[in-house]
Amino acid sequence: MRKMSHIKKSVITALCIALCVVLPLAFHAIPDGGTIYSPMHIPVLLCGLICGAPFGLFCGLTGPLLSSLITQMPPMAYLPPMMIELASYGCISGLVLQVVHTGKRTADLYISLIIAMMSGRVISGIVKALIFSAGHYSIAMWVTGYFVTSLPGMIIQLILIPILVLALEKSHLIPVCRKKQTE
Amino acid sequence: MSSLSIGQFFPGNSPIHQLDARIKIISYLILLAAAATASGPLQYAWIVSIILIVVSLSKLPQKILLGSFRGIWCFFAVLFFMNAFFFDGSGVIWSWWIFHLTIAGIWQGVNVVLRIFLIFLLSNVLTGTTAPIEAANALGSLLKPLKFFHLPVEEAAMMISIAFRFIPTLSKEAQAIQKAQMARGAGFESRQLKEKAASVLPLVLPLFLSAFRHADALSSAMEARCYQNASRRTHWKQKSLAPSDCLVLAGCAAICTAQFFLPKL
Repeated sequence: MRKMSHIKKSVITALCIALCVVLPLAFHAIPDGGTIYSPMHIPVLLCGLICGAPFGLFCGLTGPLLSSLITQMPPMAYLPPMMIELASYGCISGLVLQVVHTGKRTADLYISLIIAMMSGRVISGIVKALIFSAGHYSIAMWVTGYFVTSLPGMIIQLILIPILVLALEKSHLIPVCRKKQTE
Repeated sequence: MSSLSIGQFFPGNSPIHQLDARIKIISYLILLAAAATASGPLQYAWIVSIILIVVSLSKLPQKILLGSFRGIWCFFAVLFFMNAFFFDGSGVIWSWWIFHLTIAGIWQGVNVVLRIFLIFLLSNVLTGTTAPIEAANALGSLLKPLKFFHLPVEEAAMMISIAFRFIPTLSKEAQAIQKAQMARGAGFESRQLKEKAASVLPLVLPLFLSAFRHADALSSAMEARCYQNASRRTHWKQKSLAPSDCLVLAGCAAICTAQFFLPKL
């Protein structure tokens, strides 16, 4: 992949952090938009895929923190597990995209996304079970919270994020993957 | 979204406004610890009176101080009643089925609600008297010791301050896109899941593309001006601590220590 400058990665990360604050507010125009679509996940996953694991990790940690300070969403009580969940999404999506090379850009994106979304949920569940809700957390609560309620959000993310990455590449706002150019 | 006031900051000239942001954050954490560890009427009376003095010194309007409580009063009520009716304790006042109203339960409910209320109040004073950019710079300054672990603290502070600058621009843009799409017939108000999902794309795609255009322009401008490393950069305004800042910090530490020695009753 043609390298993106460090400054550009920093600015895109800052932009994704800002989107973590703005996007949930925009989604409030849609009834129950915040809870159904998990809008904060989109910029964090995107940041991990575009800028790499360390930037994705930082975006995942800072985005919810800033949003909580500015808009009081999420409430402080939900903040620590959410920060860990989003940081895992950002970090793992960046890491997996670095090692997955199927030769098809869309397949790479989907594999990274699905692995990041699953492992982020597993990590968050483990952290909740061991630290934040120790003794009060069950598999049923985990499945309901992370897969049933947020199913529309997961589908939207799986449709939207690859489209966004490809649209940004097409409009030359982020460097185009060389593998794709040679195909 | 139109009512979004970034960071709930309310400009003013109160003594709390004039304090250094770093001191405000450290004092906030000290008072937060004091409020979270208070137990017994005497310790609560002490910390509540201190926080009320801080609130009156901040001269913040009621809207900023208590605005966020209006949306969560239900949460406080549920928290109180859950503790009052389900807490195992002596001194049963009233009992029916699985509900047992006890004196210990009522005290536990008051304890939990008061503690959270004080933490909310303190957080609102901090965000109401500190400009977001000041807070970001202060955070960067306070995190400097992490440099010993080779963590890029200045870069992190730079990213946070850029994010703060992006928020108003992006929220205006999101609003404009939303109105434009509604004018074209986008159904944001629909109750059907399929239509709800379809309404996301016309909002998110243009917002991301225009946001990334901003990021591209900013990074090109920074590169054209040879912006290299955040750690080598200096600040136009070098903030140094005033004697009053040190006095406030010492006062907060003394308040916390005094509370520790108060009887719990």
